[in-house]
Amino acid sequence: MQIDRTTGAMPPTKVRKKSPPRRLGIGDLPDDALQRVCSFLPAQETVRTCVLARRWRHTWRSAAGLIILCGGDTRRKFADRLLRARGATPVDTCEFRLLELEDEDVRHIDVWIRHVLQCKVHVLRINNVCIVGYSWEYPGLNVAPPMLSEAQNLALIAHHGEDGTRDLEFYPTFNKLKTLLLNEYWCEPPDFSALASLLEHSPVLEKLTLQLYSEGPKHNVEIKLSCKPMEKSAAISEHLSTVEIKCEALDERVFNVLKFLGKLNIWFQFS
Amino acid sequence: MASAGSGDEKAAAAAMITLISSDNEKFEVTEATATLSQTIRHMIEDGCTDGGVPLPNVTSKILARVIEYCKKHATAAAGEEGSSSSFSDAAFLEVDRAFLEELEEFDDAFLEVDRATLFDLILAANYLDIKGLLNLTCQKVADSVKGKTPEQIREMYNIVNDLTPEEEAEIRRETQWAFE
Repeated sequence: MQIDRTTGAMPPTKVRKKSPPRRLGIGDLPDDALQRVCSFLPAQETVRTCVLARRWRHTWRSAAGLIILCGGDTRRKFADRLLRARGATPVDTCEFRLLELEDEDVRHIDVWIRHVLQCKVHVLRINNVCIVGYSWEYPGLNVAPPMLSEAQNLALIAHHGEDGTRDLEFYPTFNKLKTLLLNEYWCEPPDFSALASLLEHSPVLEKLTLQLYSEGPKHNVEIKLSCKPMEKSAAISEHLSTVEIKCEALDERVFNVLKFLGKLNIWFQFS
Repeated sequence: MASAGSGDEKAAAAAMITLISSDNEKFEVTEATATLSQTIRHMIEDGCTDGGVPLPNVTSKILARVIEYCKKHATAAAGEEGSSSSFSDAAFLEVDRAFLEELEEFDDAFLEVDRATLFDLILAANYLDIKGLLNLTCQKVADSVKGKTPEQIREMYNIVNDLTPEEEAEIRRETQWAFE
């Protein structure tokens, strides 16, 4: 809108109506949106928005998404301080990006994961592997004993008390098996022997899905893990590229499975 | 959605919703498309969509874009549901991958808008409670400020620093660990 500087007169109404509406700025966005923007920044940059203006001072504290870079002393100290400052504020999604890890980092990451679990995290990502935004359904799947060795896709859903055995030493190798879905029946601590044995007997497996302590199809939590081909354990298929965990909540039992997979180098990508 | 998929024409016709923009333009969309918005989903559940849903906060220009987004993502969701019924089908992994790639391309093209439109889309997604669209658009804003200093971000988005030098110093002291 232009005002005649010499007379101070407003332009005629007609012209004013034609002028475009004021363009929106970032300041017009509601707090929820600003927090969401913060959720998509690496955590350090998120915290630094506190000095932008008064309105931004506490925005970072409520951002429901965390992207935490891991690796080295400085990043480690920052993550420790950040989680302490946030306390029990709920976390919706948390992503750990692992970069040049030191031994000390691994111990801390363990603590941080436990911390965000306490904050009721819904989606946990490790190493920038995107969570698939879909939740697949597996209706009425059960153990299908015949022709197991010929199967390309297999879902093994078993429960205690059902007929069947977890002892797979007597099974042939699943030479064609590419995708495998298992429930918690196959993931028993302390040694996870059934899971280890299945993986050992599946030399061309590409995708492993673990549906733990959950009936499906709705899962609160989906975790995608990955492994670098070079560092894969000899006990698993060299083609295995996708490992997913679906469960109701990230509790101790699920965490034990994560630790077991970690031993097979499914989880961390050491660079 | 399950009832709309019966193929019954009357049921399908009944499942159309009319959305009315702030400038009084009417948009006919399927219920599947409309219910990507939680706000509209609740209105449908409460039975208050007869005679159309007025959206006084959304202009026709923005509403058209929002509907374009919802149509695409509702289709993908329906396709995904269809493909999930057969875990034993070897093609199911491929189907899912193709959907994801197509959606990603759509989203990238969708985001090629000027800044004012982007903010309009965020406001509309927030008001209509469309989580996917809200995440998509907020991610775009985040990407634009990534790696920038506070000063650069202020300049970029015309943020007036209304903190006194004393306040700013105090905040920096409190969060010193983030500036090291």
